[in-house]
Amino acid sequence: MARRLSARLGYAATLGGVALVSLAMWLARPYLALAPIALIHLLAVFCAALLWGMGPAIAGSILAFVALDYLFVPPFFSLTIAAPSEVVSLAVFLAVAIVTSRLAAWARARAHEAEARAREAGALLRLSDASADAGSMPATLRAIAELATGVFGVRSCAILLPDSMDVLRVQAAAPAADACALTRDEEGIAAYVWREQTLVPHGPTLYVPLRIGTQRVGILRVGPRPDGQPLPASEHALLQTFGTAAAAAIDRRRLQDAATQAEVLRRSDALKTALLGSVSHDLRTPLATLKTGITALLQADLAWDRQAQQEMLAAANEEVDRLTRLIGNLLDLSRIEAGELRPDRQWYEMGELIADSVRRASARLRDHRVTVEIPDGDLLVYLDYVQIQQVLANLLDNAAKYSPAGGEIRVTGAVEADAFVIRVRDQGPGIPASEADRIFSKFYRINGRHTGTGLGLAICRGLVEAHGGRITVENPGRAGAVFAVSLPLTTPPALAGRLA
Amino acid sequence: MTGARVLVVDDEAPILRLLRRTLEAQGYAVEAVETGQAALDAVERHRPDAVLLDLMLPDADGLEVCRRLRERLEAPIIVLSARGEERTKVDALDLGADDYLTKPFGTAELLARLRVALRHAAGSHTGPIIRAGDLTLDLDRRLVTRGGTQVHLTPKEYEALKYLAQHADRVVTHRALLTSVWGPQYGEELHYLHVLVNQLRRKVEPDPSHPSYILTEPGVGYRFRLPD
Repeated sequence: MARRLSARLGYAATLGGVALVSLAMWLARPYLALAPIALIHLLAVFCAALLWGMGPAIAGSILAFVALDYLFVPPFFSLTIAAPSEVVSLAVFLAVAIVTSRLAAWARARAHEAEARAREAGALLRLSDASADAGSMPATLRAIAELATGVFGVRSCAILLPDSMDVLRVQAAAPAADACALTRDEEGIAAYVWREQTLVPHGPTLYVPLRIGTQRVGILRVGPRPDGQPLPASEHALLQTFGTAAAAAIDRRRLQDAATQAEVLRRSDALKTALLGSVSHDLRTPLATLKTGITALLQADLAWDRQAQQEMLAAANEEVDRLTRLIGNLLDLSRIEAGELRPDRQWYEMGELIADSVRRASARLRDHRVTVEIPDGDLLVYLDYVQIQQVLANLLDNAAKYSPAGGEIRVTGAVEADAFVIRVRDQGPGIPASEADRIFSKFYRINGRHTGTGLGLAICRGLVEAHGGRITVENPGRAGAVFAVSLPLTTPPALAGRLA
Repeated sequence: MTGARVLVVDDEAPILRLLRRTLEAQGYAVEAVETGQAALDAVERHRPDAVLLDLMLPDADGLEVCRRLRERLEAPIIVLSARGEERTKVDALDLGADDYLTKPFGTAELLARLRVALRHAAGSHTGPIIRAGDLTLDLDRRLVTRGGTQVHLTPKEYEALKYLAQHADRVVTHRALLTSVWGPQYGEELHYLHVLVNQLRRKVEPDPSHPSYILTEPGVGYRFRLPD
């Protein structure tokens, strides 16, 4: 109907315009010759052709010819087509009208097409950008749905994908509130579209199959425009192109996810192999010592004097302690991995914790000089005592292991900004700069050093991070490693007057 | 206390065997059972002088068994638990257990704790004067001296030291100490306690950063050690 109205407008405007030109020329005829008058009429027809197309232009040219002939060509006030020149004039008018209007129409169509192409390219580019940026399948789907509402100017869009039981479900929608379950009817339409792979309207909504070649990916449900009207058929081509690109983006995301998953499994397998290798070695060594020692003592035909017996048993006892620590480490690590580490936090005094930890490790530190520097006063930190003690025990163990006998191990505690920092310094060879972060991974051991399972630092990191803290090597690349454990300081509840 | 009867409750037969051997070698009479129900039954038949109770039992919650035993017995209960279960240990102690041992434990520790528990139960109470190393507490006169010189303690510091010394060689949970010093509504305010104990250590310990009297039991509480 809009078109009919504008068509009528075109005719009216042209005829009106030509009439106006004739009137103007009639008034100007003392000053103008026939040629310019004719040309100005031609101009009017030309404009009509440009603006309103062939129909009005032809009507206009006929009116222009009649006006010229009647008003400006002798004999005046009569319509005669006498001379061949007048036929030629008419012909020229008509030709101009037709050619111009066709040309204009052609140009308009081309421009329209170019615009559509540009829009399509823009949409596809944005689609590719959006899906590349999205980090996960849900984010990708959301991005596609949101983009579709923008590109097509509709109120809502949803993406339906088959679930694990091959039932089509809404996986993403824009606006997000539209991501609700499908009604019976909608399920039926979706199933039909999925089967037939053809675009199907359902009221003001369109269901568009998303596929790459013959591979079916999903369905795009496109809602109506804000005025309630469905997307016009002229947009369907763009819709199909968009659909194909969306299907490709979804598929790409699926492949990426699968690749990541495969990598994760591969790494986990590699780690499990490392675990088995490392643990079996580290468990077997003390067990071997125990077995030899105990069976030797059991042997009836070997006469052990009391002192020798005591020594063997003491050695066996130490191996048991070592095994206990190792198994404790493994359990801690598995709890960290399972995310089951829940620090049981209370307010503890740092000086006490540090001193106590050093005291408990004293047997293993007997070949070293240990100095402790803690600030005066009572510093309360909210932490799990046993866990942080474990961290310090592991750090002290390492310091003892890698420091030369007789060397100094310094443990310091200090308040720095909003954290309490505990540092363990040894006089060993230090940590190479390139390993400074990797040493905290499981089973990682610096090349050439093979004692211990390589779990201690990984556990330290797990425990410290569970407290919201950080553990780092402060001076990588230099001799004498400095491990720094930083625990967040929060304000303890007031003590005023409670201690008197 | 030779001849004292000890009830050992643990679901691991090898541990039961070893404990029986060790305790009998020390002169104790041992009854060994493997379940919580068996323990409760055994207590009905004849009262033991002490109980060693493993908290990981197959048929019942160790804490529940501990509570029920405490309801029927005055005798000391020492709980055995695995590493990493501080909460359970503390709960057991607050439910009435007297001390704990963490597996794997050495026999020296086991025998020492059992000895202390039995001594305390026999009422060989410390009397009004408690001596530990160079430290002397006169409970009648509320006087604390170190190497002969008086040590000035605030009232709360004194209460804490007194409670610890009266439970010498046995573990005292944070809650128990808090309650004894500040009152029954207190049980969670560990920050008060740690600062107080630190202050106390600075006053009574020869080397506060390496305490010899007031020892920390990580995650559980404190233990006042009587040097031998």
